[in-house]
Amino acid sequence: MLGAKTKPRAHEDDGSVVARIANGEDSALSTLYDRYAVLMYTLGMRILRSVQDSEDIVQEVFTQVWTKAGSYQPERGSVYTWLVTMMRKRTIERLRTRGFRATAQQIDVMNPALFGGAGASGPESWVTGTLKQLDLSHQQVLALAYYEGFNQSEIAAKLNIPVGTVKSRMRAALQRMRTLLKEKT
Amino acid sequence: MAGHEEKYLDYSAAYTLGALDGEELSEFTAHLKSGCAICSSEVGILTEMAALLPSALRPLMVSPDLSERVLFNAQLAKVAKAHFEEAPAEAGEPALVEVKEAPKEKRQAGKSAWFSYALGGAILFMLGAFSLYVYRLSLTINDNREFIASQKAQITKLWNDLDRRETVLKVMGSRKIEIVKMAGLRADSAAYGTIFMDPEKKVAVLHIANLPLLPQDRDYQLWVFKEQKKISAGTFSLSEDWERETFYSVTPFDVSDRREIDSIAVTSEPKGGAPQPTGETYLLGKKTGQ
Repeated sequence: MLGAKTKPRAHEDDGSVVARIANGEDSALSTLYDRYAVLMYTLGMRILRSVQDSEDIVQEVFTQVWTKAGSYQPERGSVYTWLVTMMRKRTIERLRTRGFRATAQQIDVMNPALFGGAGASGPESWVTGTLKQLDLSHQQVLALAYYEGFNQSEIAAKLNIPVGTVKSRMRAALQRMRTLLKEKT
Repeated sequence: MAGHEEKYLDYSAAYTLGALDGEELSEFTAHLKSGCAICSSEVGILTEMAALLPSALRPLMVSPDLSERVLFNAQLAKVAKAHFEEAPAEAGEPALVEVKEAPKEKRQAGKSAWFSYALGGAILFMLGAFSLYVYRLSLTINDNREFIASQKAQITKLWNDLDRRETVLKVMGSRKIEIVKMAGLRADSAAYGTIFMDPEKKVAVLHIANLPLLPQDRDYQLWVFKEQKKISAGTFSLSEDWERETFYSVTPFDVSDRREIDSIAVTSEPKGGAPQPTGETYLLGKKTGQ
């Protein structure tokens, strides 16, 4: 935990935490770190498979949060989405610029457990459960785009399908996720 | 505003996942900038969906000192931001120094002095923060060193244990095993021991049970008595966490002529052992042979 100077506020929503960060409160940054650092680091590791680079990017994102918290716009999405999107964007940039990307041989597109949680030990999260309900073809395009950073043309070439099909599968996958999550909530 | 088309909804998912490329990316970006409410809303919803994907990953442990580095970086960024917010106002003004008007020179001098103080303060703060960071890092390194040392000790212990077990297997796998059973000599003693030996390979395994702990300045010593000679076969000690029963490998165990062995004993001797038995005998057994 970071060296919080003030007592953490129980059940404080993320928006309020970001507002306190914008006011320069160290403890608020500590709170946000405690809530999301593991998730962000895990995402970095899934994409880059490098501890050093994943930690670097987590630092960069939290530094950005610290300096740009005032620019956060709640109407454009949750704090969670804001953080994950920043983390994923920077991670993919590093993947593409430094050639971290796994070779085609390393990616098992036929693996039904494309998402780490699926098939992982321990209690299954509701998101994992939802992902497992997606068609394998939908899981494939999501994983190749989201975690491997391939664009639609590269995915089409890998899966030997038209680019248009890649796009429609991506949309169908995200929409199906949305429907399933709505049903669960 | 460019008109909304159905194809843009397909673009929106690929765009959200960062997979849209080429002309389609340019076209869709321009379309979004034109203010299409339908596509903006779609992108917003799909972005929220895509952001859920990492929560399905099995969480990994984060380095314990990462939080300190994050805070340190944040503090540095704070200082740098404060500095650079002031700097542009100063940056364009050096030319004013050339102007001979006294009031402007004074103003400039005042600003320069303030800037110097601010910069000095910022540097001092950064040095202080960096020192604190280095200090905390050194504490972490020390902790890690202690942890590594304890792990090394544990590894050594396990290697020794493995070594002992290998010797046991070696002896047990011998064609002919000589066994000498030893009994406790004290009236109230539940102690006993056995030595399994392979005279051909010159190895032996000592099994002991229920021996009492000795004072720290004393060791147990194993003796082989043959033809009136008392030959030391090594010492051993017990730690407080021993499990009341254990094996020791005795190597080399030079009993080339096993018929010469009369008996085997375990005595208490000064730390490191003695040339001849001097202390109390805890275990004694006569060779029976098999």
